[in-house]
Amino acid sequence: MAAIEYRGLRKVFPGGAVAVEGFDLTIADGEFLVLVGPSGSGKTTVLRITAGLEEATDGDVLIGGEVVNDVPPMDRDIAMVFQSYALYPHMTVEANMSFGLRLHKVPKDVIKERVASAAQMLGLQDLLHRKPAQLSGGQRQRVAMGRAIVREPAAFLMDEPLSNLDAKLRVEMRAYLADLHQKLETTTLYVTHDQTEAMTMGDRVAVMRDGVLQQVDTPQALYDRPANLFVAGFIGSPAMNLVRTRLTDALAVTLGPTTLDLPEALLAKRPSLRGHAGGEVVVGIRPEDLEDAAFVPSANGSVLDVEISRAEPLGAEVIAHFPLDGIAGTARLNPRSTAATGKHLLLAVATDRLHFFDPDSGAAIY
Amino acid sequence: MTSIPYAIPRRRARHAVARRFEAAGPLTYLFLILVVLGSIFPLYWSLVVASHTNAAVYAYPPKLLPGGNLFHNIHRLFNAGIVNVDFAKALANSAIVSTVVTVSVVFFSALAGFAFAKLDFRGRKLLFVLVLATLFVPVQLGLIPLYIEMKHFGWLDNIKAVIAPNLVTAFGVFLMRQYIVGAVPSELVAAARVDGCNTWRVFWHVVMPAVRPIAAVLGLLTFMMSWNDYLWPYIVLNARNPTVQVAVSDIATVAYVPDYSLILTGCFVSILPLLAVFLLLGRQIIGGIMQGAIKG
Ligand SMILES: Nc1ncnc2c1ncn2[C@@H]1O[C@H](COP(=O)(O)OP(=O)(O)O)[C@@H](O)[C@H]1O
Ligand SMILES: [Mg+2]
Repeated sequence: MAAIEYRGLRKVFPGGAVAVEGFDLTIADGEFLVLVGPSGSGKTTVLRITAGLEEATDGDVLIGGEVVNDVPPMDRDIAMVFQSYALYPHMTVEANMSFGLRLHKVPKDVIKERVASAAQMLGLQDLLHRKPAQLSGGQRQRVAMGRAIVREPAAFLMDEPLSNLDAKLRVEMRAYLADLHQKLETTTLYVTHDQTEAMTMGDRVAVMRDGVLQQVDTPQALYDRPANLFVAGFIGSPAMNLVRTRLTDALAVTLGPTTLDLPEALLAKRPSLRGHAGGEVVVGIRPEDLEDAAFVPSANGSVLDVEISRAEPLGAEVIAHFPLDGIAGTARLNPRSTAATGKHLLLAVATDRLHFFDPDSGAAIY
Repeated sequence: MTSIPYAIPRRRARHAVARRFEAAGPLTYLFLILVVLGSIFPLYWSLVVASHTNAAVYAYPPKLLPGGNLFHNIHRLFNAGIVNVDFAKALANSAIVSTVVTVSVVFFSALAGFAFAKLDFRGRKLLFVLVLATLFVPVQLGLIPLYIEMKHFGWLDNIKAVIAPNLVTAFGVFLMRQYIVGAVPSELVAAARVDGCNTWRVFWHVVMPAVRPIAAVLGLLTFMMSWNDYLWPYIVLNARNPTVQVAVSDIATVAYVPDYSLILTGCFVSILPLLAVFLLLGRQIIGGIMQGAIKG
């Protein structure tokens, strides 16, 4: 087991595409860190550089405190799980799992023991003599996991390992991987483009965009204190409502015809807001911070009058969509709400939980 | 007249692909049988001639059934006193040449194809274009410089001169590269590297097993071409140390009156190893195709 550290990592592909830029990050020993970002943001590139499959243009990668820039993949003591699983098609499940150990000249009885124990952990005992072609997607995924586990490496690298599974299996495997990590406590760098996966699995989550790290924090901190507009919009589902508007001199914001006064509690949390008085800001409202006013007794004035364009009753909640100052707004309402398509509705705003961003730099105003 | 009743269901079956293959009518069979007969006849005819005396070749009407002289002719074929060449040695030479060339072509083509398909190195594209460009140079153009080269090496009259120039072919490299690009995903190569393979082991443990079907095809083609090669061996070898094609041509030219039964016995015997290889590798190829189908 080992920590992984990146110092000023940069990768420019031949042809000039900058895939990673100024990447600084430390993954603690035994930590499960999720690297999340939209497709093309450079996640796979970071992973491949970590594995030694790609060379960094600049910067260092350290595994267990040692710079491994010039160490070939086979000597880095890491195991990787690929999106396509990349199982050896001509080998049985057993041979697939033991291949790496055999290459590293691990004694036969040790191999046997590790494969058996991993197979048991993953429920693969009865499939050991099958070829990958004879397995279902979920089984292949587990073999890919098994191949990594038996290596007992210093770190796991996983590149969207669940993205080829159907939704139900994906949720199951998520929990399963979390359990597995609890048991093995191996440093894990887990890449995904799915923010739900990132939030549910990571000890910490690193958000990446266009090759640049945006914010690294625990899931809850990312959610509560996003560092910029991108993180605010990317983390959370449904996404945060982001409206560009003006902060009045009296520190109130106007949303359409409504003016919302900002409570003292909010101003105390975001002292810099005063500096933006009279200027443009982007206001962020989480969908759950908008509620059907009928269920909020003390809404005292912080109420928006909206016309619902679509209401989706989900049982535990109602997701309401409505136009809000030129954007498509979303709210998560009490399931008893009477919100219905085409109807007007009064929405109470939890003004003490509003987010603010500088419209030019996109940085959050705290 | 008979074609009409069959024409209608066949057109209808065209909608269902599976049906179309199952529903081959008698005309299809008739056509195929004719084609097969047409291809087999020369072989059969050489067997017929090889199994008679030379005099029978000129008989009229021509003999259409095999005679009883085959083993006698084979016996004469391997008697250097009669045919003036060492036919057994020719067979052995051909076997050595074709086997070495086939193994080498398959191996090195796979190796180079792997490099061109999956490895990153400077000048990869240019080199591959150069390899392909050699495909457009006619073999005949290279004969003289190659001959001079072999002479300098002192390899004339030695089968080394037949083996060396054929150890790897541009066609083989091209075929392998194209196949590997599709059949070996880059993530598989990456997985092998992370598992502990150096480039050589990636080739050996991951690429080689994946290219087996196409290796069988390439091997078969190469063996056939090498076995049947005549011009180059004829130039660099002599009658005392020939390949089988050179030997057969020598039998044809030693006497004033060509002994056709003996020549065709030579042809017949020279075809047998080729048939054996076909049967052997043909199964491999079909196996490969079936394997691909299951994977699909
Ligand atoms: N081998 C490559 N050559 C050139 N550009 C590449 C290569 N691999 C990735 N890129 C580019 O680098 C960027 C990041 O890619 P990648 O790391 O695969 O993103 P992600 O995994 O987050 O989807 C993309 O713009 C992609 O086009
Ligand atoms: Mg990726």
